[in-house]
Amino acid sequence: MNILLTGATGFLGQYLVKYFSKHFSTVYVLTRKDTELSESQFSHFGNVVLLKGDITHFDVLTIDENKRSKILSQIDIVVHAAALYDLKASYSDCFLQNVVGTQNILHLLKSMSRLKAFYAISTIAVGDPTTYFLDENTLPARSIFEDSYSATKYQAEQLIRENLSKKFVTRIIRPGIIIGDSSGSKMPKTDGPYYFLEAIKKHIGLIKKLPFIPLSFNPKAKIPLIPVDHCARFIDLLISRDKFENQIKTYHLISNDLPNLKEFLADVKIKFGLKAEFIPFKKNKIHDSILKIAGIPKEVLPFMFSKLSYDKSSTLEDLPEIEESTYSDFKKILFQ
Amino acid sequence: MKTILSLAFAQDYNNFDEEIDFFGETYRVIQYSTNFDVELTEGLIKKYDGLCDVICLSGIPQKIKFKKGHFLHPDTLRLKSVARHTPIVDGQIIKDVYIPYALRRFAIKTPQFFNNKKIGFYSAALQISFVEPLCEMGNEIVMADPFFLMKLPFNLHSPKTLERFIKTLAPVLRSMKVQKKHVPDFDNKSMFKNRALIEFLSCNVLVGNEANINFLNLSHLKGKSLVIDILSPQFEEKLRLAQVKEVMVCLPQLSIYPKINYSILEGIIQIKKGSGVFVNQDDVIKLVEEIKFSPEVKSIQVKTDEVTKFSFVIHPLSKSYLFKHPLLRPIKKYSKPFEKIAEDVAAYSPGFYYGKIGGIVSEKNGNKVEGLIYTVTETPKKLLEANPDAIYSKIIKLCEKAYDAGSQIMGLGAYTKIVGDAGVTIDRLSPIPVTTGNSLSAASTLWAARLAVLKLGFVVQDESMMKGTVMVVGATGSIGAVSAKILALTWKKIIIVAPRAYKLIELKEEILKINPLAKIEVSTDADNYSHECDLIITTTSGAGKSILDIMKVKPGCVICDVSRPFDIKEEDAIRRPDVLVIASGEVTLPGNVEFTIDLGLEGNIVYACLAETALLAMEGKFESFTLSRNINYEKVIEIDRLAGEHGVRLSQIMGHSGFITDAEFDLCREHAILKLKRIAN
Repeated sequence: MNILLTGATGFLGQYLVKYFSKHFSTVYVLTRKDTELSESQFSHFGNVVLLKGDITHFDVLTIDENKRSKILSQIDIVVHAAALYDLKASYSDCFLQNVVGTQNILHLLKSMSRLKAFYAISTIAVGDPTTYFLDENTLPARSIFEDSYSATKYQAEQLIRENLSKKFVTRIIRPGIIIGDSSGSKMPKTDGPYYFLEAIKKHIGLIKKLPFIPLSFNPKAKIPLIPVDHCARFIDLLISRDKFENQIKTYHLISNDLPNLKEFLADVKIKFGLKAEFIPFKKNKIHDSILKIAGIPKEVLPFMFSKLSYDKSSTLEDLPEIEESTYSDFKKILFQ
Repeated sequence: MKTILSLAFAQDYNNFDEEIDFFGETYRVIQYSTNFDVELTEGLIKKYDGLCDVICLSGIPQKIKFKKGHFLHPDTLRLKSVARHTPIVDGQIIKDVYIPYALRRFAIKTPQFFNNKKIGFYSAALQISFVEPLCEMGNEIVMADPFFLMKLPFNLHSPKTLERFIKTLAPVLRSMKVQKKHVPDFDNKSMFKNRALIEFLSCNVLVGNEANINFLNLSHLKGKSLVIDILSPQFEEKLRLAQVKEVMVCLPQLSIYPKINYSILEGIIQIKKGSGVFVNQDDVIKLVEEIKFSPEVKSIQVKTDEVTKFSFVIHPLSKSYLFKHPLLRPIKKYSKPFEKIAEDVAAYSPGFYYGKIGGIVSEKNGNKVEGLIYTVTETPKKLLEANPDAIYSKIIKLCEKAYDAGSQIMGLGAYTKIVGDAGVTIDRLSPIPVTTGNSLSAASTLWAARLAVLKLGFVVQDESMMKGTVMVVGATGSIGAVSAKILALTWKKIIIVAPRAYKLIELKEEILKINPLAKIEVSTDADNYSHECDLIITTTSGAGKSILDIMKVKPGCVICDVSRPFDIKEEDAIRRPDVLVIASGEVTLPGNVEFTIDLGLEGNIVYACLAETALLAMEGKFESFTLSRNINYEKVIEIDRLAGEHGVRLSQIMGHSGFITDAEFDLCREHAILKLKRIAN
């Protein structure tokens, strides 16, 4: 079996390559420039083949036509993990990578004669934070987005759902907020809960002096976390177990016994040795500016007020191991 | 394969990447909805400039052309001038050429759509190609531009004021960004309604394009008619939910390519033309001629329990009927001396609502239908004496009343359909389609004739074929020709009679086209063949002149006299008790029909022409089905089929003076048998 992976140089992609190279005869990896750097990055795997291409290009693969059709006819599985994940990125950039990129990949799939399954990495952020439940099997109707990332990922998932094919099965993976390796390596960029921890670290002197810490948040908001290595392992497991039967399946990859914000902040208090309590307030303008001063982008806010809980029924069915990934086991990596 | 990049500026989630076959060529059409994001649109154009064959922009504000000068939004200019290598089109040329053409064509063909209706433009400036043809029709126009663009509390009412408005505000408009949030809410439910909005929402026909309306709250469209450039399946679904009454689509032919819009179409023309040359108006004219585009009305029906309404106009059948009016009923006993004066006085009164027929339920689709009966006050004599224009205006006023009451089609009863040009003028000026009901009248008469023949029992029926001979006198007339064509399908032999031989030969050829096996005889004199006929249909305009010697007719023959006044006089008919003379067939409507009024018929029997109107309402076919004095073979066949499906049945056979009872049939049969025996001896 051969697999094509997009976004292999990304955070999740690097882990995916590791798993895939063990289980697939050839792992095709899409890179924008076949520079020596990326070659050296994958050279030690042996069965990883670099393909020059760009998901924003209409034809994706910018290689010789004969070679292109030959390679495309050999691919059994496509994992589309390329995306621009940056809560601060501009809408145009997000649109180009997430929507245009996905549409071009969907078009590319049509020329793969042997394709069995298309794995698209979506995100849990497609859920509407003002509703209470995110179902696995559907994409909720939604029109208001606080950040470009979720808006464009939403459109991308919509495109995938509109373009189901009878020739291959489609699997939509919605991972939660991907945090660092559970074995302890560092998070490559500030994101999600890290924004928070960074801000507190920066202003720790001031915060320690406060009698209480006023903060606008919903104490019951769940933080859907998953360590990157768990996420990659689960995706690999799902692919290896796939019987290519149901035309479409969606999986929510989030860890077990997730903390809500109150529990998370309790852990923060322990980590920084704070005595003052976090007092939840309603969303208001003053707090927005305080967050700004603290360096937390306002795009994080919807996650702090999310009411969502997440359906995991089909994930549990096909992937009982997801129970093993628990917050209490990996929270140490957040609070190193 | 050529690649088309389509950027839908005013849409949010309509992205696709598909290969579309269009007139023999395959194009890869890639569309992205940029949701009013100028940066994104510009970014995408820059990114794919030179990488595709044409870039189609849709939903951007277009050039607003006036007699002197034009207005172009800077964003449009900016977007259109970004690309250096790939041509950019925005569908404007097609809209400029095609929309006025389509609207005018449509208005001539379907005048009811615009008759006496107030037309509202969401933004006339953004749909400038619609403005001129619609203003030419002389309807009341409301242009909500000030409200739509700037939330100002007034509307514009003529192209001139629109020009002045845009020119005056050009600097402001230029500095405004094209954004969704600038568009006001058209469902202002607050207490302090915007004056402009109230006026706009009082319009019956609203004109917009998909890009403009798509992001509005659509609930204000309930029950309205909409004129729109193009209708995508998604938008049609939205309109259905909003309970829009009907939509006139300028370019419905594109719905077979649901992904193509004006701009992509222009892009295709651009590709065909090749790079370096730009699309011009001539190319569009050529395309329109080639493909025969034409507009179309789509009625967006919601399946509800709501009752469909139709209307029907009647008139008092004689002077004494005038005293059936509730106000005059008490003096009916003493009415004789007042009849003449009542007839004269009544003619001055306008028409009024008389009553209704409820409880009609279709057997085919269960549609509930209700008939509103209106009446004019003229007796037949007055109707024929009066100036047709006066009668037209009375009936048109009733049509307007009926339209306000929610009815969707109007039927003309009895003599009201004979006045003037038989409904054509009324239909042209009425807000709802008008039908005379003659198609079903013709069909039901033929049903009656067939039933009468079968009841007498002198003709053998083999499957559906009648083993006998039928004669049509006056066969080259409108009803005669239709009857002859239909009867030729079911009778073994047919004789067509008319005074002009050359017309008969033409008719014979036409019948043979429909049924090549028909056995047809041609004659200019009815008496030559009348002795061998089992059924004679007379439909002449002889006005009482004798066209048939009843004494020569075969015993047991049925004569169906369709002409008014009758061809066969009552005293002639009495001379031959062995011959049955019938006049027409009346029908019953399906369902538990309730009358609040007396139509002069028994039980739930109604006139066939009323039944045709009800049938069209049951089928949801709101069109001017039968008009003028000519009736059409296809229409009669169609209404016959509809009647069968919906459950409109023949109930009674009418003779010269009322229904023909079974006893009369028996009597006639006995006489005929006696006479035949006498001849045999």
